Amino acid sequence: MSRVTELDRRYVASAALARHGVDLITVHDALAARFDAVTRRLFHLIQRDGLGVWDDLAGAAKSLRWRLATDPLPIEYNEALTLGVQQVVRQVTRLRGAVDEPELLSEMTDAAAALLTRDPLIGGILVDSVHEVGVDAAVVVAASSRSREALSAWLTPGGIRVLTLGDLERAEIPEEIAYFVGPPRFFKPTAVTAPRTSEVTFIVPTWFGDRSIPRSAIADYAEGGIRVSARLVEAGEPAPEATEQTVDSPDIIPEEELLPQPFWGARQSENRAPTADELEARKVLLSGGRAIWLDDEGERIRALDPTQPAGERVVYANVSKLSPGTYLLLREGVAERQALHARAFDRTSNRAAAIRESQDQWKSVLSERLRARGIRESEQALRAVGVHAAGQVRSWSSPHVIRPQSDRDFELLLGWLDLPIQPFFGNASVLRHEVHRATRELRDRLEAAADVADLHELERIGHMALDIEDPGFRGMFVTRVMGVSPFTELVARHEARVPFEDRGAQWLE
Amino acid sequence: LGARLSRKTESFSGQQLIVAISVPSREFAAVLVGSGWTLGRPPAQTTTDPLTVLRTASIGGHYRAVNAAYVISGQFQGLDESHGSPRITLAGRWSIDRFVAIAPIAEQDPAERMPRPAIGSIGRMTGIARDWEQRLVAPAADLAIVGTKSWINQDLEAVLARDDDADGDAIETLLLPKTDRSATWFTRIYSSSGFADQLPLPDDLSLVILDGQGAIKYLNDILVPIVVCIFDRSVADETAAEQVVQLRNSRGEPVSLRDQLGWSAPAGVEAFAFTVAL
Repeated sequence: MSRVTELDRRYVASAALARHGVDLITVHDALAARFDAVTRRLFHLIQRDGLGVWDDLAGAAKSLRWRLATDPLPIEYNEALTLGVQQVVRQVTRLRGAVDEPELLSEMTDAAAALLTRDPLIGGILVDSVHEVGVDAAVVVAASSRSREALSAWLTPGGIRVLTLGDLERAEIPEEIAYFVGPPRFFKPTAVTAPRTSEVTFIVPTWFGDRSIPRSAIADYAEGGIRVSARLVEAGEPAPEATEQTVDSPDIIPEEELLPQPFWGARQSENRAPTADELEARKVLLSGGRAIWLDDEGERIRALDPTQPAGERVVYANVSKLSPGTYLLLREGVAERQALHARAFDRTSNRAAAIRESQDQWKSVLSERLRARGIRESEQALRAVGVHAAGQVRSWSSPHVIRPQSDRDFELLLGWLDLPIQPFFGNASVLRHEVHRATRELRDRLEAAADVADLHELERIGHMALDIEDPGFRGMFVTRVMGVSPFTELVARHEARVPFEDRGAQWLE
Repeated sequence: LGARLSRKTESFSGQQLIVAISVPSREFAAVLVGSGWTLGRPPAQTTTDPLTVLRTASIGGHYRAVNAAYVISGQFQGLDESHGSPRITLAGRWSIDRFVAIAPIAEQDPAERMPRPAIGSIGRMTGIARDWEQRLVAPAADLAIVGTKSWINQDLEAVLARDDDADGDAIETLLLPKTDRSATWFTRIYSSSGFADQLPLPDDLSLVILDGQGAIKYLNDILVPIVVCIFDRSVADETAAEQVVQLRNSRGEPVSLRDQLGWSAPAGVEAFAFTVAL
């Protein structure tokens, strides 16, 4: 198919979905509904008592509940479901004796074990629906690459194609209808705002509380904003009236809380301003059981975009907008900017000492001024003398930020500090030039390493080491962001952006 | 959209106009908006008559000239009127009679000579064929596109034509990107990867098109009068969209595309616009 024809199909599919909406098949399965009900009871208890001892059982239950929606395979193929049930049973066993809720714990085990007594109903309805339109006209979309592998082991022999949303984007899609296995919110808005097929259907368990259809982030403000509506179709066993839930009921636990999430705990740090050796940083959980403390000094962090073509994959992510799914490029044992600055200083050879001294000098005058006048007042004063990026004044005092981006801002800043333009301006500019050079070299190495790396493997596993020979750039690896903490902690400067081990992501899909 | 924006550069003085559009897939969107812009922007209004320009030309200044076969760019090193037909030294020796247009330029071009780009169907339709030589030596050259460079380069190969015209124009001709082989150019193209190291942008730009979420992240670093952000909805990254919406809601003054720019989004396209103080 030519590019233009293919592109035309995308516009047509997008307009068709905006006009006709999507189908939502809600499937009632009494066994799955029973497990959902006991999970909700557990969360009522947690709402009352706090997480504490319940952490791991809550994690295991959420994870199993997720799989009920995304992995509706027959039991004999369904490793994810079997493992999920085992984990719940194991966590219940650990809690027996520790908590005084015998009835809830028994129901948890019984409901979980019952799931393995009959094939999930969603699977059967999925297969029937696909056969109704014909296996050549329908494609099945799985919520994760793990689900895709499981579903395709089951469905591909029958001629049914199974992809993830990411695959759907890359492949040629002659099919006319896509069946998404799971609720709309398990998929990115792309599923409905940039569809590859002119019809889209989601297959959702009746008990799943959130049936909202995602929309593009700009839809609310846009002329021609795309809002996709949904038609409900019921399937499965007849749902008993009594268990029918209404979303308005105050007892209902929001779906948000029932989805697998990282465990963040509460802020440990004191509520005070950071000292000169500290900064405010968020914990970022990474694939591979690791984490970093990420500060917002210096607005960007290096990332890898596997969807880009060779030579353009190494990019930056905005620190303040970092979101799960981004691949960060990190280095064992050290923050990348420290390594780059060290390399840049090496390059300036006989001027290194003078540059270091002049940088220290204007930054310490700035820190002193900030301490004396306060950040807010300093910002206002700088704005008044015409400094554009005055809001970044605090980061300019950090050793990680070489100088203000704009020449004019830097000159005005030095003037405001009662310092002469030179040698500060010249020295900082030389250092910036060398850091840019070191950065370009690193980028070239990384691009070359990414070019030979197996990026599909990266997407499947979530992290991988990059092989770079140069001793100055050793130990680089790429890893997917699993979650970003909603709050900051005070951490030592030298710890920021240096990877460490962390198990906070263990219950995440 | 690009053509409409090209007539609006003066309307929002002291302000930055930001237009955000979302498309099902980024392909061709940026280069089409860009082509509308370059077609709509008039060339610099200077005289380009060769003899008039050259008689007041200063030796050592940079000039761009066009004859039937080439665009030539380089340092002017002298005019010799001692022969029947005057000759000029400008990246080689040329007979002035063959020159159609010549104009001074602010900075040196990457190459001294390139084959003269030919304009066809779209040039006739839009009328730019009439002042094509003037455009070649003194283009507005105030457009930049930031995005995935190899994808943009693929988009440039597409050919536009009116109805059944046999002489369609490659988008590359309409945008005339600056490359190592350019002796003249209309558009700068930057790769979003590594773009951070190229900031700040030259200040002679009037429009920057940020093609895709990877480029839109740099919105706050771009201080030109007009910015078009093209969101590729097939890319799952929502953070760039949130960033633009946040800017609109915190500092922006909404602008109606339909009423103020006379443009309405075609099916499958979402769009909004706003201004912020520069």
